[in-house]
Amino acid sequence: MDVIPQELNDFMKRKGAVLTVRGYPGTGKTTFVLSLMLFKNFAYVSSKKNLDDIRRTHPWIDENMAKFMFSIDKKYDYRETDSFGTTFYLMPEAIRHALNLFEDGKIEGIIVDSWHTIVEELKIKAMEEKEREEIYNSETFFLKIVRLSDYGINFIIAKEGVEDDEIAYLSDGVITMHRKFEEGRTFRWLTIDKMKGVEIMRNMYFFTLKDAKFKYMTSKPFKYVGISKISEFPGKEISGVSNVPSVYFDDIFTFKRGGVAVYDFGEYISKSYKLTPLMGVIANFLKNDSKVLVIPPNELDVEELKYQILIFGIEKYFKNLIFLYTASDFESYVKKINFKDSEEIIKIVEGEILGSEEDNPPLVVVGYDRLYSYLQKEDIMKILYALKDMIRRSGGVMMIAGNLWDKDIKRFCSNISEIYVKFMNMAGDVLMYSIKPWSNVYHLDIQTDGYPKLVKRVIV
Amino acid sequence: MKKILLIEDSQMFYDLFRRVFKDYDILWADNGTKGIELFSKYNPNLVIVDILLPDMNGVHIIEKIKKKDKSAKIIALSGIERNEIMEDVINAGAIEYLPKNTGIKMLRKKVEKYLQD
Repeated sequence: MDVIPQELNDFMKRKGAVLTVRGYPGTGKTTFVLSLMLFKNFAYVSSKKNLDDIRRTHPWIDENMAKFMFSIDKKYDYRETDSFGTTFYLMPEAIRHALNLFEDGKIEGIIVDSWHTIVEELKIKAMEEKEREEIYNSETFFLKIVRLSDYGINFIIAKEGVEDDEIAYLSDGVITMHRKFEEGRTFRWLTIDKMKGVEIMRNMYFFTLKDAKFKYMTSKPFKYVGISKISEFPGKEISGVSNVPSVYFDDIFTFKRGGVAVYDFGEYISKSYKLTPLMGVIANFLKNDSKVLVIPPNELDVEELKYQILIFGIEKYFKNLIFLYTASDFESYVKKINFKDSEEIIKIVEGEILGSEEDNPPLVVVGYDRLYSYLQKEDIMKILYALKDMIRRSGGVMMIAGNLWDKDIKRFCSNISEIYVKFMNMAGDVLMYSIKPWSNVYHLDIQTDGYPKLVKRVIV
Repeated sequence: MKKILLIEDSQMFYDLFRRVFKDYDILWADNGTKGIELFSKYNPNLVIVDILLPDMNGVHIIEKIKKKDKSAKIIALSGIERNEIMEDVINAGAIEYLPKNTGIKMLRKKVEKYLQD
């Protein structure tokens, strides 16, 4: 993964650009601008915090990086120079020192964190030096920084607040950092509001500040790797355990035997992000010689199922599969069924699940949208209730998957389940948060290195 | 009589195939390992292999057969109609990729064409 979004990366290649990073307190501006120092030679000039405090909260800052971090209220040596005109002498000493470093080719730019406290400093200076009051006017000061950038220095200014003010107007680029609490969970994202000379492919990125490091995330589309590179899905233990793995989400929740889990897919979730978490569980049960009965979601037709079996590398295990479908197929695991007949569905599942002599727990996957295409919601609830009872008696697991837009169905599914997870598409990114059990918000990405892997990162 | 080796795990498909191609000697293997064995033993004129088999995928079978006999004629058969998989199959050495739901007429035409060549 790239360290920073492509747009910003392109922007930083420019010389003499001024970027404003704005946002309310606690949105991650300092961590973001400090993270930029990891791959670009920037000096960091702090006006708000003690540098020791910053190093304590960002333990990854090493000695080498610390050499380029300065505090605006401290005295630094500087060399007199004509390179920047008279503006050089209007800068605080910390910036003069950093400008010398730029002259020596040691840095490409200067980060000023934060504008808000610089303005406060300027006000004090203006009071101290009444006769030079005009110099310390914050707007003229910003103009001076813009003028300095004409010498090829890049400036990154961290600024509190999100107003479209003169500073936003004068900057070549503006990034806004956001944080939102929703039902007790935190989301963080940034928007690119302006970036001169750069093609903006997307203007919103979710990010995490885990371990005090900025990391942005994107949900990439599924990419087929080729049959010779596909590896067999590894599989996890399910026999002899009371809770079976949820495969991609084991550190958040496992499936209770005899219980129900709901994967509620919001609108605009792409097929691979719906099928991969389901297929991971199906593949795991099949590898454990458990019976798997699938009432497929609309997006999982026979062809798609065969493809999924292939890309999970589980050809050796599909014999335990029963795939209920509207048409028969050459494959023996496809069982033709009339989806309009709720009694027939219940009867078939009962015969397969309760009639099984197998020791291993069975898995029943119910694609809600498939049933919704054929049945009234009262019939769907009747089926789900009957299936839940069978699952409890067999000690297996039932997964209900689909876009549960109907409020009654949603409430019903929530009532009969131990696990309820919601998947959402937000500006092209796939987020997952579980309603039962309570947990954080996760960003999802799919990697296709061998078999499909769902990679999740908590947004904190 | 010309020999066709059908590597396909579906008994139903084999029954259908046998009826359509009753003028040929049909060898049937319901998995990849058996298919490769039958190929070595009988050296058939044409091989028809399903991509999804219970022990290995069809692409690996095509590669193994091609290693044994470069001139082997193989048609890949699959219920998965995806360009990327078709590419894999052709790269492995198959002469044709046919979807499983290809009509009987078309299947007969293709098979007869490759048996004459």
